[in-house]
Amino acid sequence: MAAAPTISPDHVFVNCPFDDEYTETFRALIFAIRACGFQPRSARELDDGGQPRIEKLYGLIKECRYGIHDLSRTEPDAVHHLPRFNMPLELGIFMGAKHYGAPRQREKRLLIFDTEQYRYQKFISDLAGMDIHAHGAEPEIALIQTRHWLTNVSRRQLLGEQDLLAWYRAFREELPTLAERLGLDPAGLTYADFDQILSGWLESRPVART
Amino acid sequence: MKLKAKRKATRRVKSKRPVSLGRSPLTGAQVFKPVAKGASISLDDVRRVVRDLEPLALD
Repeated sequence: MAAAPTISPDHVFVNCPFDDEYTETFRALIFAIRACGFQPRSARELDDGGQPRIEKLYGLIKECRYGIHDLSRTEPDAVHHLPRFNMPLELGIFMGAKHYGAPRQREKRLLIFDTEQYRYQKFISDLAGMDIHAHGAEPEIALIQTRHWLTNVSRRQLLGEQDLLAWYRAFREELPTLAERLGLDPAGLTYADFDQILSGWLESRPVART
Repeated sequence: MKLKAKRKATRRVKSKRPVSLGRSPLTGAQVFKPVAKGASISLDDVRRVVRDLEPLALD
């Protein structure tokens, strides 16, 4: 019998939009998670073969103690005039696991982002009373809020806000050069390649102590 | 004849702790090995180009 996957205190599930406009905010979230010593997990890491996508999401959510959920794309899109509902669905699965799951699943903690703090009341009022964080579509605000939240829920001593911001800006500046030297198109980086570059950068970036 | 007691089947719990690459010289935090499939470059490729960069000044 296959062993059941267990929840990890280092895994952070990132449930957010995947459109181009959101790329910088998504990268800021991944940077904050990695720089604070956690492992980001995202539906983007799933390959397409075999198991139905929803089954893979169940497994992914089950393995993560922490979840960051961004509802900022709950708005009609230009093509179909319908909102994207994957994010509220995955938030619901995460909350269900936390509420009905085994004791370790009940240790799950979640951060909900939107563009404005009280906008959710117009489309998902059942979340009333929960603390929704507004990032105003600003990647650096999402970065800092993620760091503050991880500090709070993990009770670990994490990298300071100013250092995090400085390393994030340095990485953003160097990313196009690194991508080019690796033979990749900086504008069209896949998630897998981006995460590989970020991990290698955090692990190996030379520093000089002054 | 003495019958050998059958060992009770136990379920092995698979550890899901991520694989650490070590601590970051910048942040001091653990850096975990990426889990996303389909990267077109290896971590060794990245390390090679990153190590060619001018050192970042730390206070």
